[in-house]
Amino acid sequence: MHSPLHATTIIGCLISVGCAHAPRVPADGAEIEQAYVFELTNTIQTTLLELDGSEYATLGDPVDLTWTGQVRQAPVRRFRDGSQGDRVRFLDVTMRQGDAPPQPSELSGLSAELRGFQNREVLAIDLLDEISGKDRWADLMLSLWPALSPRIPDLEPGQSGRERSNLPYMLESGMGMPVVLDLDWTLSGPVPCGSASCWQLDYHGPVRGRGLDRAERWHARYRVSGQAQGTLLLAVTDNAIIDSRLELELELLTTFSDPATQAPRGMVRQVQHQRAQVLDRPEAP
Amino acid sequence: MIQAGLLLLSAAVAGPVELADHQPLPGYLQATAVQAVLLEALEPVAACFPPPATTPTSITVELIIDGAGGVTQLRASLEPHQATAAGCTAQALCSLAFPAHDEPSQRWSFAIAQRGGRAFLLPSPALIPRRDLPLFLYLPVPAAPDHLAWLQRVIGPQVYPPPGPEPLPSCQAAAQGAAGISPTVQPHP
Repeated sequence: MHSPLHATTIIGCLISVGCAHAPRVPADGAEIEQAYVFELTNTIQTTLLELDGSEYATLGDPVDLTWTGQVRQAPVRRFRDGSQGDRVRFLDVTMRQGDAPPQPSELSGLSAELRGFQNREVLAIDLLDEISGKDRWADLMLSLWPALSPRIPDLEPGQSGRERSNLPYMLESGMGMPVVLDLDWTLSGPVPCGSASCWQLDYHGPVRGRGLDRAERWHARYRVSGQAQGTLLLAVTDNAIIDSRLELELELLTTFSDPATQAPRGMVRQVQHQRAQVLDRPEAP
Repeated sequence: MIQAGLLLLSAAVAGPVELADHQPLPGYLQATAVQAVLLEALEPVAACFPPPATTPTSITVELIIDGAGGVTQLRASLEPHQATAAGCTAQALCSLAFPAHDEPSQRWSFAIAQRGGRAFLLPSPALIPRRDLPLFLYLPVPAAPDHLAWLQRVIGPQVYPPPGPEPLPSCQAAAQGAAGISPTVQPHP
């Protein structure tokens, strides 16, 4: 479902993408839900490293993980700074490893809250502790969030510009990893997209972040770096996401320490190639 | 009394979602109302549990809510070692399942712990963080023993092999596990 737009906003959309991020909460407070389908793959290669950086072993062949499902996004609250909290609910999620049959995921039925501004700048993602970890694995699906909520600079067709996207993957203070994507965007179009007309935005740029996971049984420090590239199709009429694709090539270096003494024990390097696609599903019930 | 409680519960979650400053997520907001009603509804059921000093007891109750916010189904499950002790409760809750219709739009789960004759709500398994493995990493158990030993040494001996899934049994399974126990809710002396 797409949001209603004021006539002035529609006129503005014809001129510039950045000016016309559609308000998704109508004045009467009724809830508007946006339904998407998504597919996300993560190809992971793991290497065990000694503290001096030398390679101890490579853990087999790369592992291919694939998730499919629905995401339903609906505004649930507003904050005094003008930001908005959206409930992001996962439905019918399946997970597949390699060529094995897809299995239902524990992620189905769980929700997080995406807090951000109308320009899709993300301030926080709450309830991540409920969707992360073994058998839920949202922490392996980092690319989903910028694909769902891409922050776009104000652009005219043919123009390019840079904008930083935040991915604050924090379960709580001091546990998680704030990631930033410094992206160069180029706007083109309108281009045909199905029966509609879309703005096309191509983007790329570096990704980096540092984080911590201080659990009772382990103490991990993270450093991630890599590259992002993607293509985004937004409906010309209201800037709704029609098709959002994002690839992340990440190197995640994790240093494990003794939880009691903090003495480093070893490092794990994972190269993760994540590909997320989020598609509008306006026919969703 | 339980049925009356569930009717109240249905009414409690059916209200419109209002957007207000700093308002919790609808599920959480409504869960508060649900909790209060559930507690009242489960009080007589809780009385059938043995004293907590000898048998700590918890039940996971899953409410399936339809798009309009009405309760369509209530499922209960018990932890395996508690099935026998609380079998009567499983039967009592199972028998109250509402006919499911349409796709469930919300699932809220509550664990109910009985302490001193009263029921208390705890986070349910579905809402308990899975902290079995470090974040952001996918580390299956390696085939090579020396690789496993390395991971046990570096990440922690308790982490590998990772604990397997321990799903709570279904309501039916819990009831089957309690075979031989009277399904009648009997107050504990």
